[in-house]
Formats: sequence, structure tokens, C-alpha cells
Amino acid sequence: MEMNLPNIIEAVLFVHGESMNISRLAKLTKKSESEALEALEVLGKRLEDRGLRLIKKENEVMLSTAPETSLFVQELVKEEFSGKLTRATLETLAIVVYHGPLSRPDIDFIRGVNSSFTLRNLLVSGLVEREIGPKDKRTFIYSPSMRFLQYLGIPRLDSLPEYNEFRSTLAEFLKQNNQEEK
Amino acid sequence: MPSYSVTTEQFKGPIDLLLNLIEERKFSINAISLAAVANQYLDYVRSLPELPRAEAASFLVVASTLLLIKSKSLLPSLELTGEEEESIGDLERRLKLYRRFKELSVHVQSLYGKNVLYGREAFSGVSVGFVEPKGIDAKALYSALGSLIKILPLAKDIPEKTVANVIKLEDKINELCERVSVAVKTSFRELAKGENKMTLIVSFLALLELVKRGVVDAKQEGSFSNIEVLKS
Repeated sequence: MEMNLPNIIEAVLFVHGESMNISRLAKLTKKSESEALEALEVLGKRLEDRGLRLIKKENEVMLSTAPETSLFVQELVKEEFSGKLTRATLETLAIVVYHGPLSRPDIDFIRGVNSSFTLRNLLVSGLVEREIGPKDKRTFIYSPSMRFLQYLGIPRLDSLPEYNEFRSTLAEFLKQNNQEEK
Repeated sequence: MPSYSVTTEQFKGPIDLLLNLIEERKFSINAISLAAVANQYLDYVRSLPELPRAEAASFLVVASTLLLIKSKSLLPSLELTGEEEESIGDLERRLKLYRRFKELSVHVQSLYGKNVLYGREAFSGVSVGFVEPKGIDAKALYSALGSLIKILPLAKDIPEKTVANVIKLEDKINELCERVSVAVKTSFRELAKGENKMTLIVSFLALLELVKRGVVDAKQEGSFSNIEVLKS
């Protein structure tokens, strides 16, 4: 029986529930990461007219409900959902998602205020993740979480309006800056 | 701590404040508009009952750049250093970047919580079982526990040290003054007998101060010889 990789991945993700690392998926199914990615593409397309979706952020994927079903699922789940973002939270989130991953000092510089309190709140509510900076082990760098994608109802970061445009102008800007410093 | 006060919502950082001032007047971001709002900015900062400690530096740095811009606008012939030109450029860039994020945050706001995507709890419906790890026997557990105990941190005895007393120059000056008034004539060696290096230095400074004040006269025969101290 030939292996239907997209189906296998669908089943695994269903049982696993939470997001899963693509490399782990590859290992589990004894396939290469690129094969897994291909299968995920296929799966994602298949789900587009179904009640479920595939969310992807960097190397993580997960199965979720389709955005148009949200109202009814919410009824079922009866989740206490605070849909309100304060101005500070909104600003910080926008910076982290469009400009991330970046450190707190970088965020502070853009906002012109200290963001520790706001970032801590965002960490606690699971909207933002942090890890040790690859360049500087003393600072944390912050990035948007899977949960944040879920709350926005988008399957990938670049589904955000102007995401790709902003990231490319940012790349230009940073390249210019680096050249200037040299 | 001001950053955690209830007024955090109304609190404006320097960039937010500056951008507000510019946008209120429907200006675009450039040196001219920055010069125009400089006074307003400074008035606002002055009006704050207490400059929030954490943000104080940011407010002041921006203030100083605004003053620079204002000065240049009033004195066009004023020559700015490369660094100063850069600070002005940086401020303009910061404002433009901040404004861009305000625009982008509208997207986040409009999508947030509207159509939430739900997932399933990890492994829900899957019963938890115990899987015996391979190669585990009493001996392995025993050695694992032994290694764990070895790496447990020991309570360290932190050495205590008393903070040395600080000698105030003023006190030393008064002390020397008193001793000279009693002895009329003495020498530095006498005055500073038995003192440690730090106290010695302070005593010497006190002596110099007294000489400056005209309270005492000091005489020294040769380099590094004893210093005679006379009441003047």
C-alpha cells in the first residue's frame, strides 16, 4: 500500500493537537524534511474548503479550525476570550510580528518607552515567545507565537496585510545601515 | 515605579509625543516641522510633575536633538558636526518608523479575535500509559541518583566583609584645625601618625585646604621631607 503522506500527516497532527515541529514529522514518517514540506503543501490546499486549516509558523505546523467556523466553535468551547488589546500591547505586538524576532532594547528604541512590563504580559498570555539571542547570549529575542496566529485567524505570518512589503523594505533598510557602519 | 502606575495608558513616550505634536498640525516629518514643535515638546516635558525615571533619558535625548534642530533653524549659518547631523537624521527616521508601526498595528487590531482558530489539546483522548524504559534496573537508578546528588549545589559560605568607614574631608579639616590651634606648631608627620593610606591622603588634602584658607602656614625643607605646620 503506497504511503499517502499528506493523509498520514493529517492524522498525526489531529492526534497530536498542538503544533508540531516539521523535522519531527519527517522523522516520524521516515521521510525527508522537504518531502514533509511538500506533503504539507498538499494537505494545506486540500483543507481549504474544509472545516479545518493548516497553520504554519517557521518550523511548526498545526491543525486548526477554519476561520469561518469560529463563531460556533467559540460557543462550544465557551472560552473566556478577552479580545481587547491595550495601546501598548497592540504597538508592541505589531513590532514583534512585523519586525521580529528582535530584542527588548530594539523594541524600546522603536517605541521610545520601556517595554518590559508589556512584554511580560504578552509572554504570560502566550501571544509572544522568547528565546536566547543567537548573537548575544545575554539578551532574549521575541517572536510571535502560534497562539497569536490563531487569535488573528491567519494561517501564516505572511497572510498579514503588508507583511511581505514591510519585511522587504526592512531588509533593504538594515542592509543600508550595515553598509553605512562599514 | 512610574512605569507601572495606572496612568500607563495615557503616558506618552518621547517618540509618541513628538509624532502626536507633528500630526496634530498635519505636518510631515522633517527638520522644519520638528523645529516648529520643539517648544511644545519642551513645554510638555516641563509640565510633567515628575519625569518618569525609566524614560527620563529618552525624553532628554530627544529634547537635546530638538534644541539642535531649533538652533539650526534660527541660525542657518550654524555649522553642525557630522554626529549632530546624524542625530537629526536618526530622529526623523525613528519618527517615520514609529509612524509606520502605528499604521501596521491597525491590521493587527482589525484581525485580532475576529475569527479565532482553535486547535485541540495535545493528545486529548489518548490515555496515558506507562512505558518501561529499556535498560533500567536498580543499579542504574542508584547511580543516576548518585550523580544527581553530586551536582546538587551546596550552600556556600559567603564571606562577610564590613564596609570600611568613609573619612569625610570636612571632618578632617575641622580635626586638623583644632589640633593646630592647640599645638600652634606641629608637623604633617605628627598629624598623620598611624593613619592608613586613605586617611593619610584625606589629611593631606585637609592640610592644603587649611593653607588655602590662610588658617595655617606650611613649610617644607626639601622634597619629600617632613612638612612643618604653623598656625598663621
